Amino acid sequence: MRRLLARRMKFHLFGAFFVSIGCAALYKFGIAEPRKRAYAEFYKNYDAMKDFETMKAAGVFECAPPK
Amino acid sequence: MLASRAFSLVGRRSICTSLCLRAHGHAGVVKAEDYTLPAYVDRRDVPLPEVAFVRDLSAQQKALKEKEKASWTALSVDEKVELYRMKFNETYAEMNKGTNEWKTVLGGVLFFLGLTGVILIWQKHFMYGPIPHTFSEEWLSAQTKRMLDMRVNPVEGISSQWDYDKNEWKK
Repeated sequence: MRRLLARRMKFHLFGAFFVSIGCAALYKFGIAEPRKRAYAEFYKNYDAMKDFETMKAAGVFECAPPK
Repeated sequence: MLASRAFSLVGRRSICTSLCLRAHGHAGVVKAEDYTLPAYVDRRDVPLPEVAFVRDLSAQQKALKEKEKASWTALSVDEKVELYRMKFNETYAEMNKGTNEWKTVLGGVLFFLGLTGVILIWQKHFMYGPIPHTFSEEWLSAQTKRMLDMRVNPVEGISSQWDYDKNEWKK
């Protein structure tokens, strides 16, 4: 009973702090960093014109038909 | 102003609650209803409630209360426990003890989820008509092929899972 609120508040304050830090860290290293790496990898050797020619040949462009 | 006018018109006598009506028969003193008096409560953060638990003491309990006024070393353990139970309903241990309510709640939730599932299955089987033709295998494969040709989501999405050189899905 002694210091009931103080004890509960301390526990929850610590808990909230660590849970939020943990969530932020998990997101950053689980989702954000891999995504940044994926984009860097993709655009490292990306040739836009070659990609365009392939797409044109497949016939997906209305204004640039394959010919 | 208007309210007091209306009051005098209607007459003070007719505006009387049931309690007041009863009081007119008992020399004007109203017996206090239970809900108006301080109440006993079993709460963790209220160690000493406003009233004792047992309100109307039996003759035996009244005698014990008289004995309590003397030296406490004269009381036996049983009498001390009896005095405690007169003052409090549950001990802190009894108050804080958990119940098995969560099992009932979980069971109820799962039951109704299952019931909803049964209803949905019945609906799909007996009620709904056929799904659109755009969900057929041929349409879906042509649709996916077009998405891959257009390079939909090439970085992390569907086109990144297709191997364009070998013309198959990446392992």
